[in-house]
Amino acid sequence: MMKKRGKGFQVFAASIMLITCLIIVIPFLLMIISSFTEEKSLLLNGYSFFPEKWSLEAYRYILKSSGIILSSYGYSALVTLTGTILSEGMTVLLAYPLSRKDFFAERFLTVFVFITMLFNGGLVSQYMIYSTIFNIKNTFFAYLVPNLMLSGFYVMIIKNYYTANVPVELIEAARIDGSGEFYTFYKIVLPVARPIVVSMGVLIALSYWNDWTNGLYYVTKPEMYTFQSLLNRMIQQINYLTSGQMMSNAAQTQIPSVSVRMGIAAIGVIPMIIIYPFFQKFFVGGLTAGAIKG
Amino acid sequence: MKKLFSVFLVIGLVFSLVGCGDKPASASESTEAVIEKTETSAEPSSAAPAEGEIKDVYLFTCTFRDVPNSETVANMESKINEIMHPLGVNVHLEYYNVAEFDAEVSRRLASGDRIDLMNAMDYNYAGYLATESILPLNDLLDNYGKDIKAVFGTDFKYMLDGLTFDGTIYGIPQLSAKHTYNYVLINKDLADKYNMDLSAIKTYKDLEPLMLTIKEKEPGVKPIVRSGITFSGTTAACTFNENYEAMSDGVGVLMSDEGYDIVDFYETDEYKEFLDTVHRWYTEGLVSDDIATSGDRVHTYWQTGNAFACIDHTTNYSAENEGKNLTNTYGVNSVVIPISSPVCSNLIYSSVIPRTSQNPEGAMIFLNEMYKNPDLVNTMYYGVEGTDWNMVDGFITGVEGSSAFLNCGTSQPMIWGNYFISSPTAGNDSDSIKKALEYTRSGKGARTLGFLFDTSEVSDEWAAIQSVLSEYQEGLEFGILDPETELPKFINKLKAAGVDDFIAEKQKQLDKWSANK
Amino acid sequence: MISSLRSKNSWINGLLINSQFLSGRKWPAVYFVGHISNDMRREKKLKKSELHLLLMTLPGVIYLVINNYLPMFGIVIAFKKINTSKGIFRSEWNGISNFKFLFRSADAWLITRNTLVYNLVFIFLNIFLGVLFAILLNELWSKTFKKLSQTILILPQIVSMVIVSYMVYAFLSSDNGFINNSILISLGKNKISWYSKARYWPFILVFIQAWKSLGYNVLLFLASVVSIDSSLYESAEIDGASRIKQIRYITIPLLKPAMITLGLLMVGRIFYSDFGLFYQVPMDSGPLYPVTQTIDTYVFRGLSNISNLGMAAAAAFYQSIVGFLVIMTCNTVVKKVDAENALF
Repeated sequence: MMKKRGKGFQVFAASIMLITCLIIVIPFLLMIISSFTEEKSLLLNGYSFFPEKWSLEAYRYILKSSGIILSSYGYSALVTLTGTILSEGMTVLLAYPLSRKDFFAERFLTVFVFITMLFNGGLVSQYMIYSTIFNIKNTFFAYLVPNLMLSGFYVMIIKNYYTANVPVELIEAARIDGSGEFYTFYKIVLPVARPIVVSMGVLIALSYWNDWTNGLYYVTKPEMYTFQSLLNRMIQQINYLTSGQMMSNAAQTQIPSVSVRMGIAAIGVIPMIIIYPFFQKFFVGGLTAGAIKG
Repeated sequence: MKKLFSVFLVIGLVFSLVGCGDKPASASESTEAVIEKTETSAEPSSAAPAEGEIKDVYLFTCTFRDVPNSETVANMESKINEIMHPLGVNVHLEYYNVAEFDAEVSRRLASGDRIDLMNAMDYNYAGYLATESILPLNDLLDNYGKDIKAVFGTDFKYMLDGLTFDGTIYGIPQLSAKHTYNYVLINKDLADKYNMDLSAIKTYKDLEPLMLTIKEKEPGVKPIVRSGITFSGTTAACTFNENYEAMSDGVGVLMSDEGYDIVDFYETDEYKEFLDTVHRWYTEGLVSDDIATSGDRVHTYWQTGNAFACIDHTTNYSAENEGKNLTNTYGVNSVVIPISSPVCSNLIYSSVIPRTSQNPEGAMIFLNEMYKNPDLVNTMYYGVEGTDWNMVDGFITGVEGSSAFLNCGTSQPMIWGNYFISSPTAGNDSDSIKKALEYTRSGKGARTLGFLFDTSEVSDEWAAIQSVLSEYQEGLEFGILDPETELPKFINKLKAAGVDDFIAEKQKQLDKWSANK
Repeated sequence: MISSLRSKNSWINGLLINSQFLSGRKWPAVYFVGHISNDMRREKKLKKSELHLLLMTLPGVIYLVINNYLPMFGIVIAFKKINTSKGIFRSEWNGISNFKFLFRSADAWLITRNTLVYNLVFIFLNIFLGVLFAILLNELWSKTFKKLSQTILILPQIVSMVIVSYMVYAFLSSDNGFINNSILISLGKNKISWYSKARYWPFILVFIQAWKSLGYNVLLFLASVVSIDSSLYESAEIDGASRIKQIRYITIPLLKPAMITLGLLMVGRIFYSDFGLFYQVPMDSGPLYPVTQTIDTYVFRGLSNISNLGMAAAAAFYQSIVGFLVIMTCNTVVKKVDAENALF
C-alpha cells in the first residue's frame, strides 16, 4: 500500500531511524560490555567499548548471591501474561461505552475515570484495603491487582481512538441489523480498533513487566519475587548502602562493585532482547492488519 | 490540642569521652561477671504465661543483604521455637530489606498491621514516639525482662537511659561495642615504598604531604577515597573537636564541655577550617571529581590496591585488630591509625514493641531470652547449627551457600540482643568478644545522653533544613565547592529554611532537660 | 421480567443522579422522560442495549472503586497529625501545617519553575517526537528494519531510571567516563566534571527523557498513524502532493485529536516529575540542584529521614490539586476552541 510513495522521503526516514537506533543502542552496548569488563581495568582505564581485560566475575557474583533469578523470570512472565490479558480486557471494555455519545452514563463515567488519574488516596490507605480487606499479601494477586489492572490514561486514549476511528454509522448499521451491543463491540469495533488494542497491550505488558512496587509492598517471600522486584531490591540495597546512613564496615563491603552493578543492569535487558522478537511478530501483525481494515 | 505523646523525639548521639580502647584491664573477669549475672537471674523466667499456653509473636526485622528464603526462615523458626515454646512463645520471623524497611514499617503501623516486636533505628525512634507507635516498656521490663535489666546492670545503664523519655523507656538497645573512633586507613605497601613516617599522623590534616607524594609519584593511585557520607564516614565533625556532641541532628550541636549552649554547627570556625582544608586538597588534585557522585566507596578501590588513604571510623576494640581485619578483607596490606578517642556512638539499633502488637508480654519474654540465651542468640544471628553453620574449634563457621549465615550473619549481630554472649565467627581472635566487651565496658555515656529532641514543633523547618543539607553538605565536605563563595550561600539557605527557630527550640528543650537532670 | 427491569432502572437512576450532580447536565432525565412516551418495544430494546453498555463498564468501574475510590479516604492524612495508637480517623486534625514545609525553602519558586518548565518541554517533545517517529516508522519499506527499529525504540522502556543512571554515569563520570576518557582526551580537550556543572544538565535531562520515552510515545501515536486510510495518500499523490505536504495536510490534521488528548492528559501531571530522572540520573549531586530540584525531589530530600506520612500526603495532595486546576483550565480552553477534542 505504500509502494507509490516518494523514495526520497523513505531514504530520509530510514536514515533518521538508523541514527536514532544507534543512539539508543550504544548506551546499552557500553553497559553490557562494562559488565563483562574486569573490575580493575574498569577502574584504571574507565568505561570503554574495547576493554583491556574481559571477565565473568560480575555474573558469577550475581548468580552466587541470588539463586532465584531464573525462577523470578518465570514468575515475571506469568504475571505479565495474565495481567496483560485481564487488564486489556477490562480497559477496552470500559473505554467503549465511554466513546458512545448516545450512552447515558458516558459523561459521568468519563469524569469517574478521569478523577482516578488525578487524585489518589496514597499508599497507606491502599495498603490497608489490599492487605486487610482483600488479604492479597504474598499471593499471585499481589502482583496482578493493585494499580496496574486499569489505567485511566489508557482508557482515555482508547476511548478517543474509538471516537476518532469507529464511525457512528457503523454501529448504527449494526444495531439496525439487530446485533446486540456485545456482538457489535466484538465483531465490529474491536477489529477496527486493533492497532490501538495492540499498542496499548504492549504498554500494559511493559507496565506489568517493569513493575516492582507491588512486589515491594505486598510480597515478602523471596521465592515469589518477580524479576523486577528482585532487581529493584538489589538496587535499592546498593543505594541505601551508598547513601551513607549505614555505620558499619561490614555493611559497606557488601556494596557490589561497578561491574556487578552493570551486570545487574544487563541481566534485566538481555532476556528481553531475546524474548521481544517473538512478541514482535504478533505486534507488527496486529498493527498492519488494523491498517488494512482502517 | 491535647497531646500526651504527640512528640517528635530524636535520640541523642551518645558520645562519651573516654581513654583510648586498650586498657589492660581484666577482660575475662568482666565477661564472666556478665554471664554470671545472667545465670543467676536466669532460672525461673517465672512470669511466663500459664502452663501449656503458647502464643504467637510476630517479629519483624531488617537485613542488609537479601531476605533469607522461606525454607531457611522456617528452619530457623523451628529451632528458635524449640527454645521458646517452653516459655509459652511461638516466634514468627519476617525479614525485610533495610533499604525499604522504614517505609514499610510506617505503612504497616499506620494501617494497623500486627507486629509484635521489631527493630528500630535511632533516627526513627523519635518518629515512633511522636506517632505513639510503640509501647512503653517499664512494666513489661519489670515483669518479663529481668535478665535484660541485669545484663545492662549499672555499667550499661546509660544505654537504657538513652532510650528513656520522661522516665518511660520505649526501646531496648542492642548490646554490642558502641564506642566509635575515627581512624586513617593507609595502604602500607605504598607507605613503605616511599618511606613514610606513619607515626607522625595525629589528625586528618597530616595526610596532606603524604598524599601529595603519592599524587606525584603514583599517577594511577587515588590519594584519598571516601568511606561514607563524608570523608570521615559519618559527620565530619568527629574529626576535629573532642567536645563535639551532635545530638542526633548534627545541626544544633554542643561544641564545648561546659554548659549546654548549642550552636549552629555550620557557622562554626571549626567547620570553616575543615572545609578550607578539604577544598585545598581538591584544588591540589588529591580528591577525585567523582567522589561525591560515584557510588564507589573505599572497598571498591582498596581491593585493587589503587588507593592510598581513607578516613573512616570503627567500633573495633583495637586499631591493630581493625587493620588486620581490613588486610584480610581487601587482600591489601593496610594500617589503621586512630585519630580520635573512642566515644560511645549512638545506639543505632534497638528493639521496640509496636502498639499494633497483640502479644507484648510474649515479645518481651523473647527479647529477654535474646540477652541471656547464647543458643538463641547464635541461631538468631547465624541460623541453625548443623545446617547453616558448624562449631569448629570454638568458632562459628558458615556452611557454604547458607542463606541464613550469609544474610542474617551480616546484619542480625548488629541489630538484636546481646552480642557479647554470642560465639565468635571464624577469622576473628578467639577472645575477640571478650575484648569487645571490655572495650565497651570502659566507655561512659555522653553528657547529653538521655536528651531526646522533640521536633514536632519545628517539623517543617526540619524538613526544609534536610533538603538544604543534601544540596550542600557533600559538595562542601568533599572540597568540591569553594567555601569562600558557597559556605555563605549554604548558611543563608539554612537561615531561610528556619535553622534559627530550629536551634532555639532545641535549646529550649535542652535547658529544660538539663535543669531537671 | 418487568419487575426485574424496573429494579435495574432504579439502579440506573441512581447513577443518573450522580451524573447530573457531577456534570450539571440535565439531559439524561429528559431523555428518560422522552422514552416513556415512546413505543414500548423500541424502549425495551434501547434499554437493553444501554444495560449491555453499562455491563461492559462494570468490571472496570468495580476495579476503580476498589483500587482508586475506596483508598481516597487517605487524603485526610494530609490534614492530620497521624497518631498510630488512635488510627487515621481519630488522629487530630492538623489544619494546613503539613503543607507548610513545601513553601519553607528559599528556592520554592525555583523548584516550581523547574517542575513546570521541564514538564512543558517534555510534553511538547514527547508529542512531537512521538508523532514524528510514528510517521517515520510507518515509512520504512524494509519489514526487517521496521521490526528491528521498533524493538530498539522500545528498549529503553524496559530498563528503570536507576539503570539508566548507571549508563549515564558510564558516559559522564569524570575519571572513568567514556566521554572524558575516550572522546575529550583524544580531541586534546580538558576533562569536564559533568556532575558539578549545572549548565549542561537541562540538555542532558531533556535528552535522556526523550531517549527513554521515545518508544512509549511512538506507541501512543503509531496506532493512529497506521489507521489512516491509505486511499487518502493515494489521491493526494495523484494531485501531485509531495510526501512532506501529505504529512502536513493529511497525517497531522488526522492525528490532531490524539495529540490534544495526550497533551491534556499529560498536563494533569504537570506538578509531578519523574523522580528517577531528577534524582537518580544526576546522582543526587548538590551543585546540580538549581537545575535538577523539582517538587518530588524536594519532598523526598526533606522527608527521607523523617517518615512523616502527613507531610508526604500533603505534598501529593498539593500536586494533585494543581494538576486538577491546570487540566480543568486547559480543557475549558480546548472546549472553546475545538469542542470535539475536549476530554469531557
